[in-house]
Amino acid sequence: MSNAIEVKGLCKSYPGFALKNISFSVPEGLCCGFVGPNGAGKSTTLRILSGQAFPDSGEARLLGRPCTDAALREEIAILFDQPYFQGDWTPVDIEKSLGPFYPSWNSGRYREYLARFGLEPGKKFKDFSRGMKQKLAMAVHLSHDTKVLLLDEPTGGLDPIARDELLDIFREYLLPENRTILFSTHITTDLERIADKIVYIHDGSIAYDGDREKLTDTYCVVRGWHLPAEKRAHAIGLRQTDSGYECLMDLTHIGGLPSDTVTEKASINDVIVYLERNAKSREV
Amino acid sequence: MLKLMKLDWTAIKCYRIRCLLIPVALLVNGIFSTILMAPLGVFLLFSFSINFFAVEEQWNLNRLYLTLPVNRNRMVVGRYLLSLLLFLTGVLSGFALMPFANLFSFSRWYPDWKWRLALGAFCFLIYALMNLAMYPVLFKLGYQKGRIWGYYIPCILTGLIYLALVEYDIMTGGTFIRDALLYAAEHILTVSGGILLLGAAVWALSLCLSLRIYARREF
Repeated sequence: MSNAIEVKGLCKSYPGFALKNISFSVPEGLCCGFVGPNGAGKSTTLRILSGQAFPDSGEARLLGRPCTDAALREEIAILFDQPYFQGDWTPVDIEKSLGPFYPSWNSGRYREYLARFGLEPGKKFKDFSRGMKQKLAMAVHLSHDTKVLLLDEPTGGLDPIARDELLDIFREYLLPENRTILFSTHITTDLERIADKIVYIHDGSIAYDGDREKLTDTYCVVRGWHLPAEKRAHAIGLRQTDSGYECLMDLTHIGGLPSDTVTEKASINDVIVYLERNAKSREV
Repeated sequence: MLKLMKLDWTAIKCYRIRCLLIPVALLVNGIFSTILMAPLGVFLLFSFSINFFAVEEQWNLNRLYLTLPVNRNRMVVGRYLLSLLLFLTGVLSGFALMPFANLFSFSRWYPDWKWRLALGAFCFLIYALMNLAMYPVLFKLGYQKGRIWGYYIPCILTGLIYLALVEYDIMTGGTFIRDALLYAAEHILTVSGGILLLGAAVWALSLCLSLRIYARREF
């Protein structure tokens, strides 16, 4: 299986922030969740992959080609937190403006998606709701043959129903085996439903790069009244209150905990939150 | 390239109606002087082209354009070609409306083709100089930050240079401009050719600067 997305030794500095030698890859056909807290470097990485920014060193490749290759964008679709179309454009104007750039543009397919998503062809882009705008952007991307979809927080600000609908569209996008998604988000519940792989970035560095199930199967959330001293070293993101404690713990270390301890399977959100908390407490 | 030009033109959908004011402005100007109609047409239509950058910034269209399978150099060249089309439209509009303005103007002008060529060359030089002042700054900084240095200040400087020229002419007893025009009249094709070449060099310099600047701009 070849890699659809490859990042090797990527470094990029801004005042007050730096991407520090990040490397990861996404095999073809998978959906990779790219998670991290605000300011971790997700958008910077996506901007480099989409050719909007340039790395100080390292390389980023999409479908085996440098990401600055303009011809590559015929096969790449990029969806930001909101689509960037001129506000007075209608879906018809969007097709007239963008369709000619893509040799594989399918007009019939575009109109089918407009109908399916309930998008009026004559309505101005600025008059659509946020969720409808995202669907319109997806209708554009689905109307020509793309192999990689880069998503930069596309579900932010959407209500649960709109998010659900958008996630269904992403799942449908993945049905052909040769399509890949890189889904950058801090809404980890979206990734529980769609991601095969997780790349977790913290403060400009990759903290985890691997299988989604392996990430959540490795840890559990532990809650109780009193954490034995010998277990403190294994507690990740420990929070102690008057009503007890909670922390994340590797499953291999939960043996020997008091009987009143409650353990539950960790979600991606739990893992991220506790790891972040742990990192912050170490900085202090 | 044509697709990019069409895309830029479609992007200013809401501003296109302003173009209808330009012939009106030219005819009003023609009441006072028909010779200035072509240069004014060039100035107005080139000023209109700043809307490409304004709309791009208003709707963040740079982020759309950079997702298209087109490299940055083509985007810059496409915009320059579109501005060149607007220049040609300005010049030709000025010449086309001149006969109408001559019917009621206080200062009428009936040039032959050589003088039209000279005026066209002069307009091209104005266009190239404005292009050099504006476009690289706008490609570098965008509309909001770039319009002060890229448009308003060059316009003010142009006005000041014009005033200085007129003052100098007055100081030399009104002979400077007259002598220049006489010289131009005697060597009109050479002077026109020289001005065109100078304009082309300035335009090429502007294009090279913009290509270099936009190639490394980050969003």
